[in-house]
Amino acid sequence: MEKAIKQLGITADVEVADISTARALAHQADIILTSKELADRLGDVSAKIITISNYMDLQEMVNKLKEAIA
Amino acid sequence: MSIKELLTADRVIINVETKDWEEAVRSAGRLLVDTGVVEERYIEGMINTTKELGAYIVIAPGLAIPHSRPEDGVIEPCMAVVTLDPPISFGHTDNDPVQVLIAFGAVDNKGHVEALSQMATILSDKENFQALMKAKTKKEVLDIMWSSSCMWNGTGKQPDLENPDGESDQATRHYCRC
Repeated sequence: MEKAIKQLGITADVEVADISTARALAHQADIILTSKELADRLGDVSAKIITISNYMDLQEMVNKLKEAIA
Repeated sequence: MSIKELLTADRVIINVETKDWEEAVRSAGRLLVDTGVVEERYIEGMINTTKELGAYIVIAPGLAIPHSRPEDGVIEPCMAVVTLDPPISFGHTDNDPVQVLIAFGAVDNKGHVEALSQMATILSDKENFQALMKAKTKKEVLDIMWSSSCMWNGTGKQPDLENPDGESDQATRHYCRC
């Protein structure tokens, strides 16, 4: 995640959280990265939600983040 | 706490044949119970979490990371690796079938999240990841997992990268950026 942010040349405050913490913090976030399976659990949030399929794939993260901030 | 302490040699089994994902998770949980680092109920915790939230534990093609919450019976921070032969479906749309399970237990929520990012750091290295997927012996698994000095002490504290385990640096060691 941090590598992806660096590659995009942007700055971001990143908070890693489990699902219950994420739900509580969601209103403060611009973008939330999560799995397809967990996205529904976040409920109604204003943040943009990106679903990641392969967490070990830097390129997927970079591409999806790029799309979200475009 | 170094990864060698979390993932001890007796917490790795290779080429396990299971009939379904539940049995695969159980075999990983069994390693943790038998080595005294989680209570028996942690195994059910891992299975229930997976049932409840779906196959989200399959975080990359072929890789699942079963875990449950600290309060489900973690005695000390720990990690176990099980490789499956043949690979087993976990019901994930993109990342099935699963070849490798990395089960872990953390003692608090911060350590739990930290564990996830540490594992990602080791395995976001493509070479490490591919080697782990192809590993056919316990030694291969341990060589990959132990080659990283990336550490997680189970409490969410940052590892001491200057002196990771009190030993001098090895030539093969690559430091993570966590």
